Amino acid sequence: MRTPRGCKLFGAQQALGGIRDGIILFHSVIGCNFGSMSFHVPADMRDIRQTCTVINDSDIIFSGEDSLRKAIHNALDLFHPSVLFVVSGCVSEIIGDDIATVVSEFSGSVPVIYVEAAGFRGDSKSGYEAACWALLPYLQGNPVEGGNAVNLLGLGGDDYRIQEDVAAFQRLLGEQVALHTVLSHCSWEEMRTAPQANLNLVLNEQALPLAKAMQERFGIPYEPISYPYGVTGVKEVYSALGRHLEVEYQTECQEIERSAAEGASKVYPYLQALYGMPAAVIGSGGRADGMRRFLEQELGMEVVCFCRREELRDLEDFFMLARQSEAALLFGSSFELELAEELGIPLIRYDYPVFDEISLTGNPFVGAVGILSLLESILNSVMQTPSLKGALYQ
Amino acid sequence: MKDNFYEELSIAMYPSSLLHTFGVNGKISGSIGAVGEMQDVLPIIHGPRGCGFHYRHSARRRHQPLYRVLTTNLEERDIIGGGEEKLRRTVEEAWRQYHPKLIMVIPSPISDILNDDILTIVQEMRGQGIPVVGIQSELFSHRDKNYTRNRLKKIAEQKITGENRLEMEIKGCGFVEALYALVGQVMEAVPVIPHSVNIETVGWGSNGNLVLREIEAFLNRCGITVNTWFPSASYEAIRRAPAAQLNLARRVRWARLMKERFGTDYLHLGSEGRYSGLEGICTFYRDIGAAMGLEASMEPLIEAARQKALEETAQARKELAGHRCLLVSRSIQQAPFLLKRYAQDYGFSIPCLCIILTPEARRNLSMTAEMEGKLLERVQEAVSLYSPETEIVLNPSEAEWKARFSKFDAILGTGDFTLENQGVPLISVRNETVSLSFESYVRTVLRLRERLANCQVREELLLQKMPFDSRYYPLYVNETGLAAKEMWARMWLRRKEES
Repeated sequence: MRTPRGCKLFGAQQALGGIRDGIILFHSVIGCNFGSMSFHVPADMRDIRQTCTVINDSDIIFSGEDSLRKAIHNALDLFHPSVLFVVSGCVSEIIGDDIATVVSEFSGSVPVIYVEAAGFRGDSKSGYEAACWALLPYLQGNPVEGGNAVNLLGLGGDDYRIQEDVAAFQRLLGEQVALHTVLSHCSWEEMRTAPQANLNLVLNEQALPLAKAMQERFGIPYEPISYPYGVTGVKEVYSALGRHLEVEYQTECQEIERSAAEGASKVYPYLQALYGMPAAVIGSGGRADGMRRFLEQELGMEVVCFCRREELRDLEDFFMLARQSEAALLFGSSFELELAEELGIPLIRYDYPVFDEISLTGNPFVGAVGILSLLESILNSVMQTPSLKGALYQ
Repeated sequence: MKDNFYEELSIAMYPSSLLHTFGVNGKISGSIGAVGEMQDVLPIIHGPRGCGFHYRHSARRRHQPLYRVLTTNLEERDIIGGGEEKLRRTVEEAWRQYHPKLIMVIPSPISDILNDDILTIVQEMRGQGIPVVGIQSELFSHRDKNYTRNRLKKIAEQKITGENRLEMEIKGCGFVEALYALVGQVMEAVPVIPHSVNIETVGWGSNGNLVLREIEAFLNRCGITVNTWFPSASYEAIRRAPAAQLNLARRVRWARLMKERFGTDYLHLGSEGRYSGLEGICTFYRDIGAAMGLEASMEPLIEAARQKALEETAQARKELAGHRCLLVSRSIQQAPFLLKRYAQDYGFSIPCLCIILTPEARRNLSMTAEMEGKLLERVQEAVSLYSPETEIVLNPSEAEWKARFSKFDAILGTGDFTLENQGVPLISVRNETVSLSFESYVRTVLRLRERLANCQVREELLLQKMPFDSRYYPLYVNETGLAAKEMWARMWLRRKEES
């Protein structure tokens, strides 16, 4: 099979890696650390907060528990983290290391938290969920009565443009609502106090179990929403906030609509070019849904081929659909370059992992500015896809 | 050929070097890298589904980061019952669906623990007409970490006036295992084509593509043909690789197996100095001539090419000789040959050679005082031979740097931009691309002349405004970066001594 989505260990890393003062220690072989780090570094090459126990032959025979113990000591000594996550991989789980017991030996001021993430037991979604379950016991507090604070759940620490998108989301909320905790783009303290928020907005169903548990345990309501691309995405966010909190964003919404139309009108013939154009979209859950909605509702494109990664058994199934479609653009991750090149169409990167494009200018893909920068990215991709040939019908 | 430096840029603009500061890639990545060099070969990773997802991205190189990679999708029940049946099924499906020229099964640490008999299964399936080979793991998970230290120990024992050869096998990197599988399971005994070679297409560095074409052209002039570029070739070409009379190998294990199975002789292209610089290029072709019994006919061609290269660079070398330059090396073992090239081959006046050997490097390389002494003796030997006026300075203090800087026209031999703000222009080592072709030597000398003519002190370098430190170059210095680097050293390089 061609795997459409990542390993369980990668899912755990996505959930925990964005906790800025935390460190991830993989109790696994070096390839897991190297591979997951290679997806992380394009976002910030200075920010290395993961490491590895480097399980070797001797650990396989005699157990890796001593190596784990030593690695935890070293990690606490060298990184001085607020929290240390011990994420297991296939090998440590197969050899039966008693990771929970080793972790329990470290009961100092810094929490050491074990997350089981053996790849043979699940995919990235289950890894993200496992990380959420591991976080749950550390959450404390209760929603502030009469407060207007929200959490964003379901993001990955290495999602493309996450920093920019979170900042844009904060601007969307304005002064009426505070953005409390973003999983995963927050401090450990913000994570711990997540139950103080009044609403959980769930951007991806991988965080749904956590949202449900937080509702049961802390009484925080939740709303699943798609990734807020475009004006329609903004409206969905405002509508959810309006339902749960006593807020109203009509003026802001009108202003975003106006500024998006004003900005995009500079290239209105290109918008006309996109109108009615067939496109293919692959992405994870709510992110794919949000993109589809933006393309169909706001740009008037025809999404003729659509897949949520979680629902795919084999990536080849999507490739076959795309080949049979007449899509002129492809929206996906860096991995879909292979398909875009085969089909000779532009690839717009928006879904994890993105490792062959960087973002330094701080332009988000969501919110008022995000609408235009996403549009800019789409149009530039069309114009910059290599197409030099001697004649049109060569 | 205008894309020589673009090739380098595309490799440099990839996180591979950075990632190697904090870890090394697993063996699967090495095997995938080898498969990626071949044409129409479909890899199947015998492991959980996640491996089949992220190993599609090779952090090793930009030119081919994506592969069509399948996985056997080992799950919990396979961990208990074994994954052999799933492997059979995946190979059959892959063959039915994609019909590649060759399927290559890559083991994972998981299938290794399960002890699945990959080689027997692929042999059975070849019997059913499916072209499939399996890689045999040599080590669990990753390459031999002692390789670099052991190699350094042996180099310390060598005299630079000696043969400067060292054949050492590296195990467990995944790449060599893949080549080994090709030799053992794909190659066929075919009649030998006299005066033909196979050339291993790994580790040719900057301008590598161009250099390989130039080597081929020179060999052709000597009456030698290239039979197979290994492994960057089609399945058919790899199958017929034993038709070569000689292998030019960088990693010797596969070449040793070819010698054993097909009698193909080999020449090891090591980096221990034998083939360094202009003299090294001549030695390279002489060694090939000797291995093929063509010494007599090749010698005049080698000498003519050497003379031509010297004539083409005569004026440039004369100009370079008028410049007093500081040579900087961060590799104590390579420093003798660096001096040889810059002083003897390019003609620079080198009054000072600075060697930077950081406390971390000393510790991670298990450098004893005795070993360091021997390596320094080699540098001293190089000074006597190639540049008697050169003073050797080991780890200069800031004051020593300052005292020296003003005396030089340029800094050479390094890309350490932290030395940029001392009022002396630095010509990056990137500009030195001499390899095993005479043309690469000429290009390097002419380029260095051009760079020197246009060199400038860069006082506004953006990188200089960031927290870099020569000690940790090229790492960005922050708490987590240094911690991650030290953690890696403790858990891997110094694992035993730290326990």
